Amino acid sequence: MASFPAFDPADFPGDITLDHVISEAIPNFSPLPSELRPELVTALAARGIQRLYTHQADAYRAVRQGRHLVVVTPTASGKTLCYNLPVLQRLLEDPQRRALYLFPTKALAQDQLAELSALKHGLPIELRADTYDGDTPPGRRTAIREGGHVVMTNPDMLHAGLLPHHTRWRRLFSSLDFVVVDELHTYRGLFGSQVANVIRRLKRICAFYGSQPTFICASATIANPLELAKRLLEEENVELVERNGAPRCERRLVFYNPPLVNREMGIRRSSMLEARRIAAPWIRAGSQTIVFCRSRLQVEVMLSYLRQDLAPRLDAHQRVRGYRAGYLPLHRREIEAGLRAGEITGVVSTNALELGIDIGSLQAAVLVGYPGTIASTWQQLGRAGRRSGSIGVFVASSSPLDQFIVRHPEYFLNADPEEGLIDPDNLLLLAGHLQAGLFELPFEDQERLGRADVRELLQVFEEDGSATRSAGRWFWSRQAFPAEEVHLRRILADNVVIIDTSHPRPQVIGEMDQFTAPVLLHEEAVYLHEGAQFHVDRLDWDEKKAYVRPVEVDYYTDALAAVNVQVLETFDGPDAGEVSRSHGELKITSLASMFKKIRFHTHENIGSGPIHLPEQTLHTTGYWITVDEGLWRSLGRETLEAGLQGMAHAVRHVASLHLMCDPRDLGSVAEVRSVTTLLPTVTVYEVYPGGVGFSSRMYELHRELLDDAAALVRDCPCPAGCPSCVGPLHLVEGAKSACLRLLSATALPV
Amino acid sequence: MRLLPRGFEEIPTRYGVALLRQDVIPLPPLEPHPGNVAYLDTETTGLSGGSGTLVFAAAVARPIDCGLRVTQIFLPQPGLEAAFLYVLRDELEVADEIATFNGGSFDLPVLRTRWVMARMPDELSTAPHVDLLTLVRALYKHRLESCTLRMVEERVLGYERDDPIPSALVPDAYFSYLHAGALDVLEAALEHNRLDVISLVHLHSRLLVRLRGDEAGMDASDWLALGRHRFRRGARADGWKALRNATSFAKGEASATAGLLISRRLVRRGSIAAADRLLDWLETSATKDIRVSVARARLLEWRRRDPHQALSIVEAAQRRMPDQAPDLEHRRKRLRRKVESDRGRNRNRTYSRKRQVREGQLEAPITDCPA
Repeated sequence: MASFPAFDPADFPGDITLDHVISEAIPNFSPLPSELRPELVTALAARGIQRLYTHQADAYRAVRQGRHLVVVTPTASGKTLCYNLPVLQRLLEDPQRRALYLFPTKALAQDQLAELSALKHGLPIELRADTYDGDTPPGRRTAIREGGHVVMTNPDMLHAGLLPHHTRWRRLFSSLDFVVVDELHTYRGLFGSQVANVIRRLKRICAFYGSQPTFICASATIANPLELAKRLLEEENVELVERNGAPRCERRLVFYNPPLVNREMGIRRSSMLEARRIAAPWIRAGSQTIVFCRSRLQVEVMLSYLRQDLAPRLDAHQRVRGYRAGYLPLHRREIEAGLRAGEITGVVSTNALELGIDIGSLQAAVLVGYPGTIASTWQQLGRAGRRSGSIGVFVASSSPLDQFIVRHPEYFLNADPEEGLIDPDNLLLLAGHLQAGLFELPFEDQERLGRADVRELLQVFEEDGSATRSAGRWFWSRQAFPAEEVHLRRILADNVVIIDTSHPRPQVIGEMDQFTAPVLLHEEAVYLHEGAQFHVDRLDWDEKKAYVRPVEVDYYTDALAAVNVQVLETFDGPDAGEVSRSHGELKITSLASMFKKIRFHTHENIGSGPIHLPEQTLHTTGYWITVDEGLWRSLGRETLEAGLQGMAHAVRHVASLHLMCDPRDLGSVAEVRSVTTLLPTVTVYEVYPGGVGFSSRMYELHRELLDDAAALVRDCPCPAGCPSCVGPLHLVEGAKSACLRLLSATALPV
Repeated sequence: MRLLPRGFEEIPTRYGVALLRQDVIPLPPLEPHPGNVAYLDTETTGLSGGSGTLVFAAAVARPIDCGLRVTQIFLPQPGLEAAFLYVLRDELEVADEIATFNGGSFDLPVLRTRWVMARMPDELSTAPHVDLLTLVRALYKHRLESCTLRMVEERVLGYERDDPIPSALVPDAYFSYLHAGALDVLEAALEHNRLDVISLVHLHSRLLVRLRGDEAGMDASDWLALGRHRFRRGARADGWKALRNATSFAKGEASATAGLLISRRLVRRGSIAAADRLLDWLETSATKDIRVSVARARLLEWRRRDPHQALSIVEAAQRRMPDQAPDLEHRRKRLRRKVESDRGRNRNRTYSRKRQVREGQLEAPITDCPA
């Protein structure tokens, strides 16, 4: 029996909702493929690899058969070899061939470069592998373009650096045999939809140079890896390898819900302080521990806590380190090495360390707050558990998602219900990438961009002067460099940037879409960011900048916005039932007119003010729930309204759970009488104009969303509804029960 | 087909039709004659490069007996690019050298990209290339606020062009032709292209004179720039001459800089005494140049092992340049300490004298040193 770092539930006054030991699994091996080049066999042996795990062998076989591949295995199961092995074998057979590796971050590319370099070190021929990104010195770029066998980059660089200048990369594109897409699960939602279009453009360029690469994807556990890969690559011949042959050590999983300090408001003891109490003794005892926080700010705060706790030791600063974006690459490498060598006992990180960066195996992981998706949670917990006797603890915060997960550990353990969804055909995205593609290569008359029919768009471009037809082809005909106008990770170019002015050098702490900003970022608003309160001092609407500073006040602000939902087109629904579902295209207008300041606990109205901002319009897709007459008549108008609002809040949050998106990617509106349906209606819509495919999926998940939202509200210990379940409430008697009644109404089974 | 700009004729090629116009500009014979050079200037649909930037016009000028033959090629629509490139390559192929203004980082890479995009065979290979912008930067940068062709024309060639269209509007001129058939702005853009390439010929001529050091009225900074350029190109003897000319002005910063460069080279080849003499002489002409005094003090302190004299140089410089005295204070204090400890130990003085003698013997004969 392994010895875990000590964790005694009796020391913690909150609820232990899960205390589970995951049993160990023995490895399943396969022999090395007999066709493997002897020099590669030798190089593997030098790294201590005599045989493969079964999933590595399966992956190798599939790639050698010329099939596209998606490998789904947990952290630390040796997935890197799944792509490095067939790639190296091919390069040894023919050193003229090339491979392109895509990683979602620069740091990951760096890390995988080190991994590949160690492996190729023993090989007799000179294989050149490089990262190519914004950090690559100009002096090395030409050499990489000409001679790099393996080029490791990120989708953003491929989009704005490689593809628009593809003639310089002729050597790579004309001999491209493999494209590796690692961390496939990160390519979902808006970012995934963008990357899908970048891959469409990549395939066009490859076709121009006569190459037809095999795609090898690797993903963390999600519900639909094969579907996501097929959609992202637009390929049918994709093989899924998910039988994991790697061993697994015994480890303990604990979910901890801190005790309530204010039952009415659903406020719990700080997850930060509770996590500190858990982690500090372990670090003091010398167990290597990683603490995952949700924000950079939290990382710094937790870091100072843990150093204080270790304080009598002179080397506290050396033994406990922070790790997050914003640290210099060299600094990060040093921390990674220190972790591997065991010189660092504690590390406090954002999700920067969640992806496949090699830091060796740790003994304990503490998650402060729910990381947002089950896949991330497993990856973060997986940081502890490569060696026997490790423990992972998830400490929940008061937010609805955290509360749902911590109270329903079975949801977490049993299913992998999250799906990576993308919609590459979103018109706005498609138009941006079509321009970029047109710049890269003229379009033939009947040509498509991937599967998308773009003939109409091309005609629109001709009318606005961006495209010209000549000799049966379409040419880009503007001065602009279109790839520069598309940012893969940003929702819209004109987001409102949130700037914290309390630092000597003002810092950008976040962004918000233009549609939501008037409600949450108007002047004098108290804006909640990562659990901290910020006061909006000034909102410069023309410049799209909100200047904020941290405050601690005993009130929150609630803006009244006249939101108007107009259904432009219904794709499906409504169906029968007490609450019926529909989805389709919407036009949403929102005019924020005034805000109220409301005191915590008492809900007194302690002030108000006007908001002078223009009306916002959003064309998007959404899913809506209508309540039939029999049901709403039984509730009464006031409770109906409160119930609908609670329903909107709860459904939006559980939907974000299923869709693997940020709750802020969705918006919700509750209307007692909708102008379109003429019934009480709750609408959950996509914040990104046009949507990226969430709405039709919510329509399909209808029953599950209602059930999970009901569970969230029902299991909340608050007496009458609180921000953790039904959202900020305007105290109405019976709101919680009305909400529950709506959520448990009969709806057609999906 | 829409209307064509005036003077262009259709030339059939195996890749389709190309549009060409030629004209001869009478010129007195060029002196010095640049040789069989093709001057090239292109007009593009953007400055960002990348595979979506088209070259829609190219002008090639070649000196002939009676003057200058200027050929312009025009791309009437993007689909006819292969023929355009084919004819352009023909024009360039006959030359022994290609000259451009910034072609090293713009025109030629863009043309190579176009070559690939038009699916032309192999690669676009050209004769050796000379980039006049590189030369202008090396030889005239100190005289110009910027090195645009317009600025160079005005300040180096002394001619103010009556440009029919500013460069920035050229891409739009082509687009309005493509989209609406507008000819007048396009004609202006093509004229702009023609004037550009003619300027290149004159500019090259001027640069060749300057490169030989034959231009009248060159001042110390001109000679300094030329000397540096010659050293970069590995022409050391000519480089010496230019630096020496710069130094002999015996006035101003550039002259002192040239002298310092020479003294550094002298030190590098072991001619310590000659370097010392040169710096000594420079100090008399550049009395307000702290760099000279510092160089002399360093030479005396580290090469000649003579902290006494180094100290007196530093102190004299501090008196001459009270504003910059603090910058020398650290050096002065160190030298003072050395001198004091030196007095305590006579042995060291003998040693340093011995060193001087040895260095004197090692010194190579200097023939081309100005001092």
